[in-house]
Amino acid sequence: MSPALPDQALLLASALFVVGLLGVIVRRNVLFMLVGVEVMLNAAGLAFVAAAARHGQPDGQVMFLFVLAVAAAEVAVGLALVLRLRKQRGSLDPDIMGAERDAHEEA
Amino acid sequence: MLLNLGREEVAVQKRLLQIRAWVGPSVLAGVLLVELVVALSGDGITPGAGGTAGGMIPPREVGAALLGPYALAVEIVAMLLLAGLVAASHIGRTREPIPPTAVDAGARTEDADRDGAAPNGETPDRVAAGSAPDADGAAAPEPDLEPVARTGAGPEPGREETR
Repeated sequence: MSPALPDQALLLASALFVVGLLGVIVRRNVLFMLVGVEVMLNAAGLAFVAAAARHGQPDGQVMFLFVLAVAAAEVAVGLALVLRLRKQRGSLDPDIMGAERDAHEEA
Repeated sequence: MLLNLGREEVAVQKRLLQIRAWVGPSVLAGVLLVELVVALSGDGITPGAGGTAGGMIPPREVGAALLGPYALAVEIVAMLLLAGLVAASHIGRTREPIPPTAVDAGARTEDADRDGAAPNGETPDRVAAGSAPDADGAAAPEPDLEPVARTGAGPEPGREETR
């Protein structure tokens, strides 16, 4: 493993984070926004692993396992919420979530 | 905004867009950026004592660290996963079908209809057996499930389907 590899991995992690952030911002679909959040979490985990490889310590990989566990819990709850949203509203557009309550308050 | 939480939230965000609201966090973010640049350029941080920088970390060390100093964190992650499982099954629970009770109620009414309508004839029996389970299946779970819907609604008041 060459010593320049952790820096390249860190660049890849930042690029991956930007891709996930663009996915969250640009997409108008809750499901793909969730996928973008997952991409951002994996980018953070890749940064942890790169730091672990740079410093020669196993703590970064331990943190990546924790990030994976948090991502698993988050995607479970998030997919359940997406299913509820799909069933109740019939759409996955995040802009309609508070719209009905606002209309209800104005009326 | 992202989730369109209402007009008062828009007012809060307009207040957050003033200069004195974000100059402090941007200074802190600049400090963090300088720290990152220093850490990445050259040898800002010396490699740790126990490891070799740039080398491969064996899985044995990862497992020893996971169950040694991080054992408490592993337990917390286990509780987090359990909470995520419970929350996902609670949120994603379906209301309308209700497999055991609806099937029982439908079977019971069907049996009652068949017993009551057997001496009458063919066509009223078919009409009763065809219509009664549907009406019961639509009406019976409603009073059962409405309190569940209320308690599950919690912080969102206008959750009744008004469309």
